[in-house]
Amino acid sequence: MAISQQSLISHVLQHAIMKNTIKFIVALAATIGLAYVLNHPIPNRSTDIPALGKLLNPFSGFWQNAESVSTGQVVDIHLEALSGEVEVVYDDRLVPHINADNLHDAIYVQGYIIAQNRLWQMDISTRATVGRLAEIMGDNLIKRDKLQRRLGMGFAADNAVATWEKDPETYQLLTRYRDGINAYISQLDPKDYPIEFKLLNYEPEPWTVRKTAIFIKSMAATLCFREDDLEATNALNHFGKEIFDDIYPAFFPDDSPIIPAETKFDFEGIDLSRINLDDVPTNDISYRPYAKPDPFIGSNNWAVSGSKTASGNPILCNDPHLNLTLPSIWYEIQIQTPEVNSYGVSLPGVPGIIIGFNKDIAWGQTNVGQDVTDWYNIKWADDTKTSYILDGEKLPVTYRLEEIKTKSGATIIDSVKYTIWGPVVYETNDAHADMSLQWLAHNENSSDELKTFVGLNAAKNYDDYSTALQYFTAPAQNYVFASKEGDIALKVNGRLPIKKVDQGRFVQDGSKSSNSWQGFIPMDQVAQTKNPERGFVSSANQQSTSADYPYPYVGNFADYRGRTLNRKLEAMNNITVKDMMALQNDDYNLMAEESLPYMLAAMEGQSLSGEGKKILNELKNWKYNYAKHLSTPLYFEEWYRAFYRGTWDEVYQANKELPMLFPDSWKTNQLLRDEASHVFFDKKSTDKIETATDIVQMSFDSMLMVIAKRTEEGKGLQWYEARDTRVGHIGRIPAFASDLIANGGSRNALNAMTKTTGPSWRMIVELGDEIEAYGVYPGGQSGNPGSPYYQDMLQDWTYGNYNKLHFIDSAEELADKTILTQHFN
Amino acid sequence: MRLLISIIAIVILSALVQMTSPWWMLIPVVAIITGYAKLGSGQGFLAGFIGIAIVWAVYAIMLNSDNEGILAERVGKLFGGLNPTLLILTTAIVGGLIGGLAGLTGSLGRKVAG
Repeated sequence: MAISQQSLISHVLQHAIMKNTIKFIVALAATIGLAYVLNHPIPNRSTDIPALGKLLNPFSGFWQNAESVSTGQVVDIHLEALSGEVEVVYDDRLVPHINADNLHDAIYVQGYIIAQNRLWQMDISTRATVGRLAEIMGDNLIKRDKLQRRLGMGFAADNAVATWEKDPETYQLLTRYRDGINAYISQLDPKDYPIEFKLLNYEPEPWTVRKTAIFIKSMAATLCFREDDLEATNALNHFGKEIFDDIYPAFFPDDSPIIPAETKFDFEGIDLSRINLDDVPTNDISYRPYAKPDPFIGSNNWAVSGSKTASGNPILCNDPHLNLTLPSIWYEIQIQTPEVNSYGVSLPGVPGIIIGFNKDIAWGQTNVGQDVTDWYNIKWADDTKTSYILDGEKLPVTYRLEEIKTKSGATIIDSVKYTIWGPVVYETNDAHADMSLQWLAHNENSSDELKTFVGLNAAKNYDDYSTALQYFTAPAQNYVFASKEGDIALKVNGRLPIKKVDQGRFVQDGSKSSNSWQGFIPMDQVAQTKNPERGFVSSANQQSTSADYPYPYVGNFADYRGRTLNRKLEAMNNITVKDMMALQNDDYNLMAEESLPYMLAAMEGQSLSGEGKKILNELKNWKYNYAKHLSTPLYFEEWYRAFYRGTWDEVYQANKELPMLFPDSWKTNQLLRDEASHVFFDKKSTDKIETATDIVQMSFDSMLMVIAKRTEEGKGLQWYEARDTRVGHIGRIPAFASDLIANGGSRNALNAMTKTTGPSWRMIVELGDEIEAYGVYPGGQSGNPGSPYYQDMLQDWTYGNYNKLHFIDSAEELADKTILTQHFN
Repeated sequence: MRLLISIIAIVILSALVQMTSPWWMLIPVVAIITGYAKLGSGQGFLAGFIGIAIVWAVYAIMLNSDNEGILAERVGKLFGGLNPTLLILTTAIVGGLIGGLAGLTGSLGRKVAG
């Protein structure tokens, strides 16, 4: 009995121990399991669900990015690599004013500061350009990465670095910038990483000079990849030459060119007859072209001479139109050394100031529409596609191995073929349809962009400006200039391939070297104007010159803003800075002026009632302005859209089979005005022969239906509601984007607002004894969505307000506005 | 009393450890404290939950208030529309859960070890 009792106790005891052990093991497993789950992102179809413990814990998660809003700190930072002391004061918009003993220190600190404010933006934009997104965001981006690589973005960057290395002076500045960025990165703890790194669960990596090249190439791609060679080729093959030439004229005869039409060109150019253009390939090109940059990326700049201003001082203005993003593409900065004192906007990843001013001069840029991106059909020697035919000779392709790392850990190797033209971007099963891309920015061997920017930052007069521009090659820019001395000037600056009329408009036969570019327009023959009689210089992406210029310009040019701008500037006198602000924010649409009266005329005699009558009346009284609260812009846009679709229905039909070129709106308007019975107005599907009048009337009804539907769905009719502009986060995180932007403007207005693009920096500089400068951009200096300076300028920008720029000589001038001081060494 | 002291110990020691180590290092800290204090399993969980929830919530509240709620407003949207208060509460609960489990593990471990 005793024995059994004892065994019972021990049994119970043992059982209890067993039970506790099991409980312990279960609890331990649960703890470790939960910790594991909370420390690892959960794979999801599109974007992973972030690791909650990592993200939420306030010691290293996102709460660490909730930076303090308090101001007035003075911070000491020691950086080994600086040769002297550098002081940086940040004004009330977090604009850094760098004061250094020499340029090398200043650029080093510029690198440090840009990393401090925009590190993730720098990382993601270079990754996106060079095809490295799959590595961090998931395998669904492999296809995109592949395309970026096949476009030769990495190839272009490598070539740029190789060129830069040949100029030790500027290369050293690039390495100083790099080292400054890396000095910042190297002292970061994971808790300090920008929030996007935490959300996407990866780490910053060191900056390289190559990344600066990649950033510059991404800008070049944005500005050059709007070509439509494939679509034009298809349209030519589909409609035949006669119709093509009729509906797709390359040259807009009524344009008001950038270089005043009366400018005389006292050189011959080259004999273009020696270029033998071969027939355009006749095969259809069925690839859907790559995602092109928004067609409404463009810019305005102008300078008015003292003769036209109230103060007698020249005034220079610039507003580049780019994709609107948060963080913004621009970063404001002042750089001061004993030799240089300049202020303006920089790019996150590029040293120096890109658009700005100093005590003596101001400068700005817009893009030149000249086509420097051409496609060539490759004639393979045989099915192995290892060699191709050029002038009857067999030439082997060279290979560039692209290693695409993926998030799942695999590495995909894409061996991209290169011909003399460039990378074979599109490769298909159809051996006759493979194409190489020739892009000026691929292997530019004389480009020294940084030398241009350093030169401009330090320029004192027209000659310095002129000298600095010689080093800038691609993408060509209209560089506007004004000086305190009273000069104004504009140069269509960059390396521009010499082309015959229409050369490069279509895909070309890549088996003939005669189809290549015939050299470049010599630098002393680029179109330019200095102190023209009219008292102003201006550009808005329109054609560079009149037809008198000895070299033809082939490319994509904007047809409305340039004329609007010149017309307005022509009429203005006693100009003040305020007038210039109003002009940058002008919402007048010349395209409406040139089409609506004819559309209204076509409505004569139509008996309308109710809503239709009301809308037509409103349109009759409309002044073609796109003010935010008006509904007329929406009526017009919808009406015109339907009219355009109705007119070019044959093109839309063909576009379902193959990507097609679409006619310009100026051509459409010209037909409406002068050729109302043009064959394209006839709808083939009906027995009746329609004219422009019929199409206009039909599209009015379509517009009414669209408006009725919008009203029914409760969507607003005010222009800003219809346009629906939001400044999106660069990583497409909706929570980090802006709200709806309530301003006016439209794609053809000087205030060139679209759903996704707009003026990315508005600058006005009056060059008097004291520089007076104003600026604003749609964002803020900080890239941190948790910073009060993330989008603090957005509202002023929306309302057309400006900040007075604090262009200082010494930190004391900012004493009452300093929110942070960083003292280096 | 032992519960209260354990909670205080968890708050102080785990905060120190989390300042210098990965967040999950709070697990051994909590487990050792609840085990050492010989808390029952229910109390062990409670001590861990409350201790860590306090640390995470208080620190988040401090950071959020210095930031005037700018970031929490945006991140809340990312979490499906939480306001900053609910975001802080979520933070506290997630911290509390892992702290609670660690506390439970500590108590049970002590029982096994005797």
